[in-house]
Amino acid sequence: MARLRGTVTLRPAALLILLFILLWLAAACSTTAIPDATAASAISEQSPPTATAAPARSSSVPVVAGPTKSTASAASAEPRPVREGTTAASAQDRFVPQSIELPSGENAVVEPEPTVNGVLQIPDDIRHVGWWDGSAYAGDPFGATVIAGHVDSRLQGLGFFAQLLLIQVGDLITLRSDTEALTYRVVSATLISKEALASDGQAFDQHGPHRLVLITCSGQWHPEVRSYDSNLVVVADPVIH
Amino acid sequence: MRTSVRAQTVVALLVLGSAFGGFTAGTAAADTAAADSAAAADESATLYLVQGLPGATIDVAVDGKTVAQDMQTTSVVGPIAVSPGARNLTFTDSGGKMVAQNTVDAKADSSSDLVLHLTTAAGDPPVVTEFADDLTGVPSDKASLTVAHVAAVPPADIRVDGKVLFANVANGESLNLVVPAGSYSVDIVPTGESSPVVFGPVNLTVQGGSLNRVYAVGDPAAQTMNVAVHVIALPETGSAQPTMVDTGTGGMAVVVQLIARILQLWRG
Repeated sequence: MARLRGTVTLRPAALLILLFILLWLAAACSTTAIPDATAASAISEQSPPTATAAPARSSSVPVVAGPTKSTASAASAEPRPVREGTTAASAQDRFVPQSIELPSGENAVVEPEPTVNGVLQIPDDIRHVGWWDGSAYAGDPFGATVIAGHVDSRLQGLGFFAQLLLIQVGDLITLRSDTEALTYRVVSATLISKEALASDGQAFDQHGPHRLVLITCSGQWHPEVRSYDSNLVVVADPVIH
Repeated sequence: MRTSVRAQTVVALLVLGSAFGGFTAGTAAADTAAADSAAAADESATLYLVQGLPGATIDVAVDGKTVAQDMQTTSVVGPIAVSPGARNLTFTDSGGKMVAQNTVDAKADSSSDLVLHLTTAAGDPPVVTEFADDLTGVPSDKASLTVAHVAAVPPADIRVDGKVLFANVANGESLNLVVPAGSYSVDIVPTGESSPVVFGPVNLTVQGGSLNRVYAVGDPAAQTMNVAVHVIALPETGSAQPTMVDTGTGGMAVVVQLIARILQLWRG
């Protein structure tokens, strides 16, 4: 604009002609585009072009230059929409388990449960089991998917996970959501004291290969405190199809 | 607002660790800004710009307004709040040449990365690919890790600690996994092969409680392979690791096991 004012002092008629040309240019840019020219002027106004910007390399970059087909498309009046990034076909499904099937063929509802003061909460209904909400989803590449359930209750009798007392290495267990399913094969069933479960923490480890860890209570029964002294920990590895 | 990861491929192997460290500080500020702008205008779309073009310094304008200047390769700029609707994007190099000109359909309450990068076809002009940011929460000790392929290489496997975790990813594709926060050794090989190694191995630190977007950029033929990293804080989900599981008040476990044993004997 400073240049423009300089022109005005020379001859008022020139201003009209210049204005006309500028307007025509602006209209042309918005429809048919001389984007290189506008971009270059924009840059020189805002900041001087960086002279150190690796001229050797930028020349190897296939920027739009020269009368090629691609020039026509990139510099055309209708810019193309951006490409949509897609998900690779090898994507694995991961899901919060909503039900679990044990070797008996019976299923139980799985409810997400938090840890409160160090104690993993368990659904009140002993026919349901609880998925620790900080543990791995079914199908994650790392960490244990931890599901705990009642072995029994004084008021409701035997719980769904009483079946774990009978489980054997090699048995199959399936986790499901509304749309997904993943099967695991039992590799171990170990009785460990509740103190060891707390200090060891391995059952809850979120590192290492993905696995399913099922926990219930067993071992010595202490009627005076109505509690078992141990946990039964069942570990199962995903079955690769 | 502006973060830059060192571009030189050879040097990158050595400096990646520190570069990610510096990066963290930058994105923390960016995240706060994102939250502020989201609160200010609920409907706005959030854009991040990723410069994935080797050997170029790029200026970016949205609807004619310059939003980023002198973007070095692998640098990330954002968040940029824009009104929903069709927005015009122009990418120009330091010589003022138009590198790419695109439209993006900015959706209300969305967050996405716009990546300027090479295609696999030699001599073709750079393209801009939009990757939506999955802002689903993770536990604080886990990281949502998305690896995207925007380099001038055929479909590739991305190996993590020597194991293929991201298989057969083609230019313009990405894959997401949730992994424990920490450091991983990452390299890229052609799909189904163990050599030649196209990039790496490099040590990649992924941040817990965050979405870690890693872009493989560049051209192995020109020795410009590198990674751009973009970290966005996520809502925290999940609870602490338990120390106690109390699942029995009936005292019947022994009886169940006894009956089971008798049944097993009975069946032989």
